[in-house]
Amino acid sequence: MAKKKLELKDLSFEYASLAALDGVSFDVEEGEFVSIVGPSGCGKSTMLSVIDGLIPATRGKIVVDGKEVRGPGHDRALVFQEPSLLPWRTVLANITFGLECQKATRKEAAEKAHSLIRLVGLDGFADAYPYQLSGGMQQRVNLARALAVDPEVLLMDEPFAALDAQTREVMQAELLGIWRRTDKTVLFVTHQIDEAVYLADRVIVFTGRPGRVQDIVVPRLSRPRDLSVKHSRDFLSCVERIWSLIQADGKKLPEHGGRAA
Amino acid sequence: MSDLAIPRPIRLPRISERAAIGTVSISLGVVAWELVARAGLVSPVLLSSPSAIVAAFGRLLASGELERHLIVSGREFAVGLLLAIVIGLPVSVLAGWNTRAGWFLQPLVSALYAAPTVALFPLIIIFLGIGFWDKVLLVFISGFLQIFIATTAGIRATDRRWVRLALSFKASQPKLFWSIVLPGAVPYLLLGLRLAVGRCVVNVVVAEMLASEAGVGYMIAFYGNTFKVAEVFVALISVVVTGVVLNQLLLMVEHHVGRWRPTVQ
Repeated sequence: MAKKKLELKDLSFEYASLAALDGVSFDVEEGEFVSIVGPSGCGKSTMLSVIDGLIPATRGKIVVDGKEVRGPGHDRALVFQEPSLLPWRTVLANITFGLECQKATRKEAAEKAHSLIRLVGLDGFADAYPYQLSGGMQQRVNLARALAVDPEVLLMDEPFAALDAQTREVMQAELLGIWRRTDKTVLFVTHQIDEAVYLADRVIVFTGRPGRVQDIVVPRLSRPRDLSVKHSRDFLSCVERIWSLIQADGKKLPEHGGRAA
Repeated sequence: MSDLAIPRPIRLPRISERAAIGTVSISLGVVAWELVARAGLVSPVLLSSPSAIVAAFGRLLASGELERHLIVSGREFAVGLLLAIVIGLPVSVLAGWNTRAGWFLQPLVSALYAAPTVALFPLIIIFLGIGFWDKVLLVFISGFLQIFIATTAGIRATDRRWVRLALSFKASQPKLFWSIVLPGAVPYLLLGLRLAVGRCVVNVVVAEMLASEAGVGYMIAFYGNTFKVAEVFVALISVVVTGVVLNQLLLMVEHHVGRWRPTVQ
């Protein structure tokens, strides 16, 4: 059995005495790609902020590599929903930001950033400013910036949500390629069921607010996967299954059900 | 890769056309003025004329009078502005960055800002007498206020997403300040500087008009009182040209520093 990289134990989060997450427990194994889907407003993104340490959990534990963590740390890196690039920095300087925070030397940081620029397919754009990049390219920089600090766990918060459908598909396929080459452990939050299934080894389905683990679905898809997998019977039945789980949950909570994505 | 857009630097519309139209506008104004003056439509004592002004400019330059007054005003302006920058920038950054420092300084600055700056001048004269430092203090106050208001606003306008980014990467407080808050505030800071320069130029002249023995403002008041309208215009035009040139220089700096932003003209 593979080593447990990330363990959540009874993680709960309340905001203004409103429960957003309620007793979430699951493990992610080393090198595993886990997706989280659920209706919008189910606290998925909040959960990533809690795991990253940006907001403290109300209850429960977060364990990385067997050690409980509190607050942000270099063992986790968040790929933000909005690229959140610093507009006055070039692509290269945006990617080195995390390394600078770790007091890496300028030379080390630049070397690392250059290799990541190649990895995410941005050759030739090292000196471009964010405003000169398309949405997809900005998300590549966002990803490279997170990978630069070499985190144990990569937390991805709906990074492709704002992209157009075609770009999103290209980015999904590229993300899988990058994941294979870097061997990272990834926790990927999305509201797109097909995206979750296409990317993940396991899909954790959340209930509506407060967010709880409703079920865990394992897509029976071999790797490496190319985009044609999305037309296969196994893929479609997996999507169907998750869809019905989310819908069934929506009916139980009519006041939230209308918002099921 | 299909999502790789080719970045195209956004180009400004050609400056030359704009400059040409501006030149035509000014030239037409000057020609019309000269024609009105020559036709004797208005008394030359009241309106003067471009040719008379050029002649007066030649006289004042040859006698060294214009240079002498420009140097006096220039020194008052430069020292006051420099102090406003050297003291104003750190104080404003502190007030924007540190909540309590902001609470402490904001009421003082608000009170000072609400008062007409020129109305402070009689008080300043009582404290410092008429000379060099009274003008410097007035220039300093007017420049400081502009810098303070723009800079504190810039520091407070830091995007929350960038702060989240810094927290996520465990950036230290100095790192957060130097790499995120300060660079983010630079456009505000430069705007504050440009506003300060404008205010300082105006206030040097106003102070000299109210109480002084030299300077461009003194020239305006003196020649105005003696109905030498052409000389008044020479002094006035010197002030306007200085203000415009400084403003353009700072715009160039802003443009250079802000090259990471798409420009819309």
